[in-house]
Amino acid sequence: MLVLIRRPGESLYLGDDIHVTVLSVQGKQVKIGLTVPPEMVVYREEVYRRVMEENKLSLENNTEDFMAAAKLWKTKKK
Amino acid sequence: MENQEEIRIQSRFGEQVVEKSKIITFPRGLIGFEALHEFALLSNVESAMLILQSMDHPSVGLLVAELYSFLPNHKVKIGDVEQKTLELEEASETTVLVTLSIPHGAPERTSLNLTGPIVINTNKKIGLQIPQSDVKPAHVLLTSLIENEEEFEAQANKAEEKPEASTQTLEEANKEPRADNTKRRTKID
Repeated sequence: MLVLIRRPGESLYLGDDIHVTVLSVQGKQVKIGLTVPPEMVVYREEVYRRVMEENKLSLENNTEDFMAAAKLWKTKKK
Repeated sequence: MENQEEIRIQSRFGEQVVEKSKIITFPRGLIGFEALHEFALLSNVESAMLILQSMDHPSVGLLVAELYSFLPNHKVKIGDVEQKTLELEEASETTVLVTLSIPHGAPERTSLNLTGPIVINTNKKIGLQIPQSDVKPAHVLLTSLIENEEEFEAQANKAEEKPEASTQTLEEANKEPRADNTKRRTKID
């Protein structure tokens, strides 16, 4: 991993079109400003991982359990 | 009989026939499955619970539910870039799916995962998973919704009692809250 030290107000370019600025540091929190191409998506890592995890789990769910849940809901629905 | 408008695929439900016009294209795949771009929605019983099945990988069939059938008022944030990807316009119809967590052997404890809603442009058949950064709660137990059902219906009945209300409100109130709200207009700010 490339490690660099930056002070608040200083920034980095990743390639030509990604600009990362350290805006401020307060205690354990670092505020970061990102300028990225419009088509590029930025996710917080924990959110991205959670969604990936949930997608995978929803594949592994047992089909019979699913059928039971679907039927269960059907009867609740009027 | 198979014709050119249909494709036979292997799915979690075994062999299924999918109409070509119903295939949904995911330009970015799904999170964790970025290489898969074509899916179809399958159902075995009439229910708001479905399988989002990869056209290419039989084992990739995500268990999902139509979000608005269960949580008609839940808001999903769709950014500008995502709107473009989905080719959403002001009046575009969307279907929103969420993945399900079903504890093994305990289908009654099924919950909806709200962090990664899958938004589909219903007419253009384009889909995109849009992680939401601050959804609370991140999971909703279906049984907790059933407990709220009476309250829900009480509200709907109250709305019905006011004949002076605008047509739109009345229509909304008369709708079966869980069954018919699966498709709705997306509001774009």
